[in-house]
Amino acid sequence: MALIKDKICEGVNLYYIPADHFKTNRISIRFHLPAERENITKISLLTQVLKRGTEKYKDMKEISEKCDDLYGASVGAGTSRMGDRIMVGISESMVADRFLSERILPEAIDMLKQVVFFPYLENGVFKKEYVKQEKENLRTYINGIINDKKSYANLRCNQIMFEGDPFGISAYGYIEDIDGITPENLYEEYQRIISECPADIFISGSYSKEDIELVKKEFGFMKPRKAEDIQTALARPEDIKTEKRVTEEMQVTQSKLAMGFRIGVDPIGEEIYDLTVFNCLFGGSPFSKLFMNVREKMSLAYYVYSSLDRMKSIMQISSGIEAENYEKALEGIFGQLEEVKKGNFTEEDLEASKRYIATSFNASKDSLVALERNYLRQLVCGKEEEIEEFLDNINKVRKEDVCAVAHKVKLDTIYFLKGEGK
Amino acid sequence: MKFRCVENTRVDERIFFGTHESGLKIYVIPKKEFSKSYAIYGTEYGSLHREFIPLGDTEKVVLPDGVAHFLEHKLFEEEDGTDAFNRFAETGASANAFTSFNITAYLFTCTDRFYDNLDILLDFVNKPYFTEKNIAKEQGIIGQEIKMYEDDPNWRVYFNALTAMYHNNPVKIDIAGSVESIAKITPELLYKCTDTFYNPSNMRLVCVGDVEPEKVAEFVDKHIPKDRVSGEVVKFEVAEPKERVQEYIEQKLSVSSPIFNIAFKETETGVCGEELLKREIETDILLEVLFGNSSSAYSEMYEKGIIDGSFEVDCEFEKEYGFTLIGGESKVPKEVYEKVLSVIKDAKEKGIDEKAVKRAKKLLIGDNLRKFNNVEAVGVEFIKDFMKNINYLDYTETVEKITMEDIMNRLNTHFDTENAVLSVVKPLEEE
Repeated sequence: MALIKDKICEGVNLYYIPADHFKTNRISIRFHLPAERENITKISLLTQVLKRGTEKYKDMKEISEKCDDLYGASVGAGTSRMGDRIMVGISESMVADRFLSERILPEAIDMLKQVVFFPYLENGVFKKEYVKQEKENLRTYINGIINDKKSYANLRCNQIMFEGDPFGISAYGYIEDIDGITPENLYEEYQRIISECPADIFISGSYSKEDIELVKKEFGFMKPRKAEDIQTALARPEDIKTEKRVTEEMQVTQSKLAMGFRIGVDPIGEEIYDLTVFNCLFGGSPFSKLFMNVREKMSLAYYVYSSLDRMKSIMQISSGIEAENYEKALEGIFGQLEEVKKGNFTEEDLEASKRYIATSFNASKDSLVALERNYLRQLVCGKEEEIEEFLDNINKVRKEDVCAVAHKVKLDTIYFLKGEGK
Repeated sequence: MKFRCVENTRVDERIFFGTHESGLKIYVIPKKEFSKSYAIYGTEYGSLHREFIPLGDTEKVVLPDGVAHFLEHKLFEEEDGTDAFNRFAETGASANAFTSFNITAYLFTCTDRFYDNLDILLDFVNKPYFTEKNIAKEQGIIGQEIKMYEDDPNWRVYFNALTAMYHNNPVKIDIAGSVESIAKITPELLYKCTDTFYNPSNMRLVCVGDVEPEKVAEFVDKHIPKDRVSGEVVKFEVAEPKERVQEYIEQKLSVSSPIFNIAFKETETGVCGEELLKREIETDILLEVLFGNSSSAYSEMYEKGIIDGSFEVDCEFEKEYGFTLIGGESKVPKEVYEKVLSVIKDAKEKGIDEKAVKRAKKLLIGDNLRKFNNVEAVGVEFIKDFMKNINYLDYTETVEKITMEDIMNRLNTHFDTENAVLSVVKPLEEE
């Protein structure tokens, strides 16, 4: 399985991931933009407005009817973050023709093209009602982030840690910026994105030569643009001025703890393998130090884990605890970090982590979405490495490498969402 | 033991199944091209099974709430003080377990050493080890799990809907129980449950991936004696009135806007096999036609701003219970409820658009094919369906067999507007 690279025009790449063991094919287009506060709310709103109607299928009902007819082709649109960049992505997954009595691929590709490039317009701009309704929905959505306390706590931690940094910008947008959006200025932003921003089209699954040519033809109208690279500034421990501790109270039963650490390890450097193993061993697996001690031995939490953003080089720890156990939990977590730093873990722990990582990376070959995301991350980072190669490097990690990288992990922020308990 | 092969050439999938001498039913779904392999080993035992006669006993036991789930946590613990996760760490597999209303299942995903993992799975599930001490430790962990769910508005709105629907059926009881109920759990009680429910004839093993049926049988032979045959488990079913308990139920939680579940209670329970699968598909078709993204009602409510993208429809049909749920976020849940009821009344009077039914069928056939992309989803779907005597490979053909008349019958029997339920979780400050 290797990535096949092609081009629509300058600034618009076409990538094909051949994989014929799936029942579906996938196509997606992503526009790359720097994360900027002034545009983010519009961008977030835009993906929702695009799903409302197209030139050919003028409202949601017509789009959905057509998708149902294509055996439940599903079109998704949204913003996502990768390092300091925001991506506007529209994707579609459809059943592969060989399982059907009819050919649906050309119409499915046309559907994606319709949604991205031929929105339903009135007086040359987005339809007023669509914009108005989606503004309201976005407001509800942003206000609703608080409903899931765990992800809310993680998000708050990230916001506090990266105030004033592109990485602290919410990909969903901001309530206070919604009112100022009009069908006109939204359309202007849309035009800028589709005609000026660098874009990647990914197709994955089983496409014949003719199918690929069809994709190239269908998107052949896209205009050349500058293939600018958007750099991500690494989160470095030396940037920590003071450790931040923020506690907010809420009427909930379980309190949530979210901790952010800066590491400063280059995602395409040699230490990235050490860091990946460290995270798995420390808090990224069910045999990790955090799980075995803070959960199993100390019985403080049902969930406690660490996760990495390798591109930005941060680690986040997340846990749900009793409010009164705050200090105990912190002690447990920091205690385990010290243990890893000192090398108080076995060769078996190290090997188990490598195997666990191998399983999760190999498993990504069984999902078109995961395959696409892996390749995209590599392209964005500027280093291409097949899974086998990556795992070879993981296997070379030694105990001292894990200890060394553990010393680079520096606490930046502790966010505590304090509940009342019961 | 012998395996039989059933194939569906249209979806290009096959399945081997056989019954081990001990009574354990084994299913193997080969998927050689995938990196992952998966096994799921489950017992027909969940939060519903509160009352039973332990094997070898004559007297009925009534369990405290949350035992099946508690047991699931505890089975990972081994006699030497380690836990099964450590053993999977040696092979690199990712292991897990879940407890639902009627199943407790243990599973792993791996990309290597499938049979070593199967060995561990069959070993630890068949070797329960419970002590006062390890039970006390788990009470702290599960206590936090229960509290996590108490704050989860989607979980609460769902369970409140069940409470408003069911008088006696234990489906309304939280799967994890409560901090108080799990405090009553003793080692003796847990052993009674494993002895009764974790016997081979009450269990299923499903393997998906690069797996040979005969080799699976060898490992089953190793861990489960052929003569470990046991009688049928005596379970008690509770009589449940057809009527709902109450039409409306609400709770206040720290949420930004109201969340709702509209529920319809299935009153004709006790069905399984193809009949149950048909019932599920007919309901899914109706939900798509009446409330799916391409329905008029969906567009109307969306454009009016009373629902948003979080609007979802779902149904669940088991032998012991069944219901349909329509849910999402809305500022005016009661208005959505009224609309849903009026759409149903309207459809009963005026009938259903045949073209819309055709589209819904295509959608379901596509969704079904899509599921085969995911090794884990295949495993979970198959084990659940086998417990209901459904062969998942029959799905597409069953969809095609369904007639307009079947659908109208389903509409008239299941969607009783006089027996519907509205459950709402409201923000704390709202009156």
